[in-house]
Amino acid sequence: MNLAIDVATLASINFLLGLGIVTVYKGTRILNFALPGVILATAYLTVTVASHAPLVVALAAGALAAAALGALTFYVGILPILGRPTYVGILTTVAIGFMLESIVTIIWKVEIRNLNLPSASFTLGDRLVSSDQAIMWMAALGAGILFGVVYRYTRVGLWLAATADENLLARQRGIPVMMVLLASFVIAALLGYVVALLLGARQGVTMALGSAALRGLVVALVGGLDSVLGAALAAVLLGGVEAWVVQTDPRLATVVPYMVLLAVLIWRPWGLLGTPEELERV
Amino acid sequence: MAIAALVAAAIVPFVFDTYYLSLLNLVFIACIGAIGINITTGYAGQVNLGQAGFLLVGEFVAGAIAIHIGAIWANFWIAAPAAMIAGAAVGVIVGWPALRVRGLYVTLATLAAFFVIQYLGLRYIEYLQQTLKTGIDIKLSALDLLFMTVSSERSWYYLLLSVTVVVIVAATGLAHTKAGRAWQALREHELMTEVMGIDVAHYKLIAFAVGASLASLAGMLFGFYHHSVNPEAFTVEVSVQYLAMIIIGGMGSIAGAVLGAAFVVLIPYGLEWVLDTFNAPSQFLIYFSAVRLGVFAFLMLIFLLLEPEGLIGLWERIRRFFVLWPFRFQPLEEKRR
Amino acid sequence: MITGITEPSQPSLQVADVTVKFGGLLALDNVTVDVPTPYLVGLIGPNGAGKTTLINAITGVAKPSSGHVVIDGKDVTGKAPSQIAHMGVARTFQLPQAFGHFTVVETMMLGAHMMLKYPWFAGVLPFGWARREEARVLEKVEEVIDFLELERYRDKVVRTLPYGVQKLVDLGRALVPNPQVLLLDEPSTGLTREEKENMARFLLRLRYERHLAMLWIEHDLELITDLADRLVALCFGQVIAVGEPKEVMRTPEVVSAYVGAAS
Repeated sequence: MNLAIDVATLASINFLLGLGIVTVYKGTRILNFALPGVILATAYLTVTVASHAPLVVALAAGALAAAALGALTFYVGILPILGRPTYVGILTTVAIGFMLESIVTIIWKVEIRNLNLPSASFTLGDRLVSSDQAIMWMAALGAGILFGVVYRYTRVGLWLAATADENLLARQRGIPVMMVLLASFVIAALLGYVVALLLGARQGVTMALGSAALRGLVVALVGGLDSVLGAALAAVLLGGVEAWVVQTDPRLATVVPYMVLLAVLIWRPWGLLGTPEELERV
Repeated sequence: MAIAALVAAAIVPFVFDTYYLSLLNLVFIACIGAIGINITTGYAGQVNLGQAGFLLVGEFVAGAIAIHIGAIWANFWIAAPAAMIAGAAVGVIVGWPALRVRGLYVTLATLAAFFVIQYLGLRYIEYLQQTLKTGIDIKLSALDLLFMTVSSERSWYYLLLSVTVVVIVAATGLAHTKAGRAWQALREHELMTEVMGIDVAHYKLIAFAVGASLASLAGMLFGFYHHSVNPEAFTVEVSVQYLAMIIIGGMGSIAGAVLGAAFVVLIPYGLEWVLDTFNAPSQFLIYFSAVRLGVFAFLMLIFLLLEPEGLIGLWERIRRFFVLWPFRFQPLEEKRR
Repeated sequence: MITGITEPSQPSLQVADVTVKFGGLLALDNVTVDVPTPYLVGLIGPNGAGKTTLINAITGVAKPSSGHVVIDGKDVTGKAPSQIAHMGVARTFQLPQAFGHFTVVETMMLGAHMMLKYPWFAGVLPFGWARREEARVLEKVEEVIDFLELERYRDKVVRTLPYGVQKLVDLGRALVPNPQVLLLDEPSTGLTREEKENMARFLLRLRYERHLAMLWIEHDLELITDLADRLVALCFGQVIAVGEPKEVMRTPEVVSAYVGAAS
């Protein structure tokens, strides 16, 4: 039971982060390496505002900042380089992410801040479960179902696929390509923000949130970059392995997701449920 | 021209004092690593976020050879080839996914490899500390080339200068022959490159092997230069610095890598001076590494967006401006070389 | 038209009943095309007919779900694109600027990759094996540069050149390794009348002097009808007409395909 609860929580975090990455990838064929920086900045901002103003205001400010930073990543890092080779997009998002990280360090001085969300707890079996853990499970489940449904049954999924695969054709057919791209960055940032809040409430807001956010990239790749179901599967798998290893060697536990990633990339590079290699255009 | 440069380079240690020589030595080590990552990332377009990991491989090889073999001549003549071979092997493992998938996946593989190498390395260090009682710091003996011992800044200068020159010549050779052209072509468009009869997967793997092997060589030299194995010095920030070197200097250009290495190694000293003179708030000095990271990330972004060919491209443009002035464009009819 | 000196022997390129599917879409449906040496075969058809897909199927970029691609009597279906290139198949690209940062000579040396037999690491040395091979192949490259009259652009960066010249450089890049079969993906699209005639002149010289088998995708119907030995018309992935260019242009299917596409 204990293990199951730990796995559920880790898996939920993993999944929400992975979903952010998958969302951007589906629309742009770009991995958003700026996400760790965005998460750090919004988490620290929320804590700071919360110490001067009501919590609701802080949450709203944080969400607004997340959306703004997501949009900023797009406008500064992606829009100007559309049409250039993929590696340029990787590098611009990396640069934006580290700029944010640097700014956060200078402003907030790597301090640990507490984020007090209203919380309650209840027992599940013989284990005390806090409400933020439960919220995390719900958020992951809700987001998973929502995104799964949206991608499969609405035009948004088609738009994302069309934007990524046939950018020119998509524009000619009247798909608001720029809006789709922008929206996918904003949504990814907001998803990241939700995780930042929940993680921050549990273990305090620290610089470690940034490396936790890297986990999202790992989850997305292990699952298969274009698959929501794959992200879910990978989230559970990685959560399970991590919860299991942490009992014997806590230091190994922080590295084990990366070992899983390397193994998966060598054995099945497109991820557990990803599509094997989409063709480039000649 | 080349002879003049060599003479100048030979005189340098007698003109500058030790402090400036040590800066130059750091630039040389950075040059070797930067040329390596420029082959993987600048030429072949495979973004490497794990350069620190490849450097670490070299440092661990340095430690292993110095401690396990213990013969002082082995510190260079065995450690250097061993570091390069180990680096190439790790590069091949990390680049393996590149055989079947494209850039994005491989980038994260490099980052994952960094964390795994760091973990394994730390375990190895712990093993040494416990079994060999080496103490917390693992001290490395001096380098010996058989004909000379390398310990003073001046002797390091000559050694690092020679190694850097050899690396520059070799890398330039690769860049201007079939491997270099294949890398640049696959960076721009893998499928079109494949259709020209070039085995893209093969060349991607080579790019990883060569890049990682040079990084590992740099890491090995770094270890002996500082007389210690210190994995904590190699963080993600180091990987970003190396990316910054080639982006600022000029991706896909050996000269760019050299220029970028010098820039990235030296700029922090200038930055410190600026912060000092302008009485910046104390946290800028306390969190100097963050300031540095921010500045490099910012420069990376600016160069990527505005001058993708880096300082080398900028220099070309400035030169052209003055050569052509008052005209903007070169006439098409121009004398053959 | 002079045809007496160049009667076709066996087809250098045979596409037999090739079907290519993208998802549920039939991009090519049982397509059969023969390109004998030294014929210039024109490939026409409205947008989306599957012309580029056919070239992709021949070069191994698109995998046929059924049918065969035969080069010089050898079945190459399912082989990797780089292997097929080694069999003597070269192609030009619709948009040639992908490798625009190279100079003209470098671009052609890139095209000559297959002719360079030294192992890649031999390039490390500033003398020896690699340099000798490079010098030998450079002579071959200079011949192609001369042939295409590109001397004045020799050391220019490709993307700074006029579009028509870029197309010629791309053709040269494909010609350097001495291909038996040359696939041309819209070589004249986007060119001025003058540039088009220039390009056509080179292609005809290739046909008569170098005896290449060529498959030429072309939108300029007038141009291709004049120059091709044979025309193949594709529409919605199917071959709707094959044969003597003027006759193909008169077939009701071709006429209606173009009129239908236009309306």
